[in-house]
Amino acid sequence: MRIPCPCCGLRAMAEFTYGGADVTRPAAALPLDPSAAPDADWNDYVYRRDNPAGPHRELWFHAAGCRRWFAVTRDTRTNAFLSEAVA
Amino acid sequence: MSGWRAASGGRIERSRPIEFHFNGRRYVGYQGDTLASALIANGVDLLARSFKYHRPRGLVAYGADEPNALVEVGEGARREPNVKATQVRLVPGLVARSQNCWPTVGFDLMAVNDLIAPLIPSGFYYKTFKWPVAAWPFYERLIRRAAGMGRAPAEPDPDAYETVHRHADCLVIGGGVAGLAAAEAALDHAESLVVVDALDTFGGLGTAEEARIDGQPYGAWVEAVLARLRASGKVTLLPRCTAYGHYDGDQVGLIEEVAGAVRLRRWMIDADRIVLATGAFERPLLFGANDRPGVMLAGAAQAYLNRHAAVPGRRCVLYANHDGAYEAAFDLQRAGVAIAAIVDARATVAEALAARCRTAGIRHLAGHMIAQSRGRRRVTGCVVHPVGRPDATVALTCDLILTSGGWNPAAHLFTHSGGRLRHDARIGALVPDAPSGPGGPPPRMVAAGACAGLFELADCVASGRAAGAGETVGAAPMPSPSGEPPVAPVGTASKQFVDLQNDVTVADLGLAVREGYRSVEHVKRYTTLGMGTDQGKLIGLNGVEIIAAAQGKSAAAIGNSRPRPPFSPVTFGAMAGPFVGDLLSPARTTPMHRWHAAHGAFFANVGSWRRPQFYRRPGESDMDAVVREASNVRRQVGLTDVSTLGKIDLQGPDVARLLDHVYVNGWSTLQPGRCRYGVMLREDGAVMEDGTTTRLSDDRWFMTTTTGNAERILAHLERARQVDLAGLDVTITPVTEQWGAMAIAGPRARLLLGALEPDFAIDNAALPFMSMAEGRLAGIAARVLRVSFSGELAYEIYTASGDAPAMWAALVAAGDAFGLMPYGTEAMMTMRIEKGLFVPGFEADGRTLPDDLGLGRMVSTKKEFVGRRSLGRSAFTAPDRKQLVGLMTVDPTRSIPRGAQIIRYGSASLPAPVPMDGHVTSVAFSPELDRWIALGLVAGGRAALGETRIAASPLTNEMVPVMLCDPVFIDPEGRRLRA
Ligand SMILES: [Zn+2]
Repeated sequence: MRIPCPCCGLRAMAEFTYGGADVTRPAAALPLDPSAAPDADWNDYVYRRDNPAGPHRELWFHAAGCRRWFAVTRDTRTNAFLSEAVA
Repeated sequence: MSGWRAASGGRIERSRPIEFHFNGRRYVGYQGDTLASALIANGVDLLARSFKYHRPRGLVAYGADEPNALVEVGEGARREPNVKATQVRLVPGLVARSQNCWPTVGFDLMAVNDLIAPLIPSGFYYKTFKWPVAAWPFYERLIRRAAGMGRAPAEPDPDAYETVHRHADCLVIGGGVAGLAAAEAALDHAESLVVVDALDTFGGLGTAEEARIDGQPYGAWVEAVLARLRASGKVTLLPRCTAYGHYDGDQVGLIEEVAGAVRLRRWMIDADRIVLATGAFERPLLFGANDRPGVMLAGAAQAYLNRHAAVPGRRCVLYANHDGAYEAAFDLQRAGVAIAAIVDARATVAEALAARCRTAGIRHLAGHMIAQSRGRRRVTGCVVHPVGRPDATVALTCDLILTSGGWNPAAHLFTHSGGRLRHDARIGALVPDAPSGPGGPPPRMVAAGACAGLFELADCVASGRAAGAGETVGAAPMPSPSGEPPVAPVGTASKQFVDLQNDVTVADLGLAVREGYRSVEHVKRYTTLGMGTDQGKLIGLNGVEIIAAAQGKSAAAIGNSRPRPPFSPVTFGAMAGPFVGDLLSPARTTPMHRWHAAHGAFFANVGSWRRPQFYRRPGESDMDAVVREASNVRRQVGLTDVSTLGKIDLQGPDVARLLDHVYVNGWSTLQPGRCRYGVMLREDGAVMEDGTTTRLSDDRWFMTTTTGNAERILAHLERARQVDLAGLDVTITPVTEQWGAMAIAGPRARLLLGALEPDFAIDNAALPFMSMAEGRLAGIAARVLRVSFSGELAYEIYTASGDAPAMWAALVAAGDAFGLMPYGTEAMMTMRIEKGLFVPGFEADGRTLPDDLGLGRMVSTKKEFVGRRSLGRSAFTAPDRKQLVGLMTVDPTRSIPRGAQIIRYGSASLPAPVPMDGHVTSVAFSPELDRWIALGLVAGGRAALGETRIAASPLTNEMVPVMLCDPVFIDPEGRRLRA
């Protein structure tokens, strides 16, 4: 399987580290007082992940290459990369 | 002794005879023979005993579908079990043996199983041996010995293996007519092609020599295509190469037999387009005692004759249900074999074919079937009758029965990563399904030729060209060349073997269905149908049709079992490739490794690093060495190699913002020339890492990480920079390999440092605890960090990796005057336990929060950082969380069992499970305290200091009273490290 790095092009999967679903970190918007923000949003961010049979937006790290983190959409049924990667 | 060698023909080199041994006897074959063809030519027809009943068995097939002829090849360390004789190329000195028979293949004591066969029905082993459960390993050993599935050699494998990874625009699996047509068509669309075939030569097996393609004779067409492929410069041709698996992302694993210094080469090929042109396996027709030596597939006999001039009999009956099979009989007749009869299960046969039989003087029995074979160790005849009239029998005399019930596409690879097969009534076989969206075939795999269910030569060429040109996906449905679905009558005789390797009969399948098994996958597992080393390639739809008929259903309605990798067995050597011994897990060594090895170091594996564990002196125990090294650090000065620490160079105006994001504490106030200790969390609040980061100048920083976390922290920092805080002006450079590092620790460390004549000030005011200096030390450019992992006055000295051995040598030379000793990781661990310093993986185990480790006050409340929000969760602030404490045995002479659970007094008498209060994380003998100490995580531990608990270890059967104490056993005020 080869993965499209936005910097290096298609490279072997062994060069990459999987970074999980591409979820937006809400923390920056949270107030410093933890009790002022609901647990639910944070729990969703830390623990809850969709497990779709189909397109999945996810992060990859080109660890043994240019060290770029990028997001890409992969069809979990076929492992086909459906979109151009973005940094 | 029925087989013989035709006087002419075949692709063998008669001028190059080859001597070989089989079952201790010497034979002669020719260059170009396989072990199977050479045995046929030498008249050897008893090759094996069957798995369950130990019935005599001979050759049935030509290739990977051979179920019977499993042999052991080679001797000593090169002995290889479970090899199919059909896949062994004859080489000088080859030594092979039958397996699954004892003491000899001719006289097999286990053949008594055949006499009690009615007592060994489906699931016999499950039913008989499953109780009592404890006895199963005993039974299993006996069964396996009786089954004799070959012996693996005990010696190390002396052969060399290679692994090659590559990418191809197009991979063509199978170099027959369809595959070659595909490869040629792909030349216009692909820049790189790989074309593989399991045989020595390209061109395939399924085409008659006199056939014509594009107006050219078949052989000339093959040569012309190969010439064009070679001339293109784009094509890698790999004969003797078998694809064994198709994996996620369209990666195909292949094994190439290499003649030379390398025995096997494993290819892992990523291909944008995969053409599956693997041909088809012939399906046998069933009859009683169809397993007797002398019963063979028609196409196999034809291939042995045409490729090797090996003729498996003198007088032959062909039993078939389609026109193509007749050619085998005509070929054999031309070679001098008498054809006793052609028995055709079809009621009507095309007049042209019947006329050819008449012309050839062959008795033609249309609408007939074979009821059973006759003979003992070899076929001597058979009984036939008209289909539906079992009373009207005719006896035929022969020593060879050829069967052909049509062809099954060899579509195994198509299903390995998700493709589905479709029942095609037209050919009575499973073919690759047409694309059907998700869950359909893999997007880049295309079947062509016989693998797609297309058996006419013109269709093979056309489908190959379409596949190579990228026009089709899956198997394009093609019109039926002959409309009638095949007939494959099954009689009522006993011992009709569906699976020859696993001895599964028609009756066994019927019994399984009567016992309630319905799904093909369940019947398969219950009866072991198709579960041998041949993976049931020979069975085709025979099993499915019998299971369906027993349920009153059609074969299409009950589905099929899904083939899985590997397509044919792969030897462990090929899977391991060259990555054995030192290459299994390549070791990382530090610049000082040679010095360590020369000075008695015992090495420990720390991740992929080799680190000195301790330096044992003559007469010392391991423990003695560790105690001596640690004591010497506390009293004088020690030297240790810390080059394995992860090192990261950070540059840019925004480094402090990045560090603020990943560390729990603040960084913007840190002045150049100062170091700070920091702790990193995961987003779920658990402590992930600790280490020291130094500000070298306004915009340049130097981070060290724990040895095992170096790669992970680098990825973490890059993710923070690129994803969470996109836009930060920071450049992150891993420099672990570029810097050698060593620590000197102990009350005399400053004296030692001074002896190296630094060109910078090192007194306590100029270089206080948690500060940094750069300059020359012993004439070598160095960076000195005054940090401590032992609790003593200590310095970490960093130099360019190439200079590190010289710096180490300078320290050793100067250190003599100060009582310097090197120390290893064990002494280091002892001292950090004495200081109550946690280590990721021990105390910080992925559930531990900063406050659990007593680091609550370090956590900033003024900024956002990774994991901060999680710390506020209610469960994370509960008072009964497990907290880091020190543990001392109440009896100072007793040790603390490693990994012990901490329980309360009296709780051992409570009903199970005993409530666990916590556990021991690290244990050491403290030379300073002269007693065993430990660190542990104990529920509510900090509020319970001074209380006693029990360290309970069911593994060592110990219950040791321990007292909870502060985790910092030595110098809690930190006077020594600030001295
Ligand atoms: Zn890259």
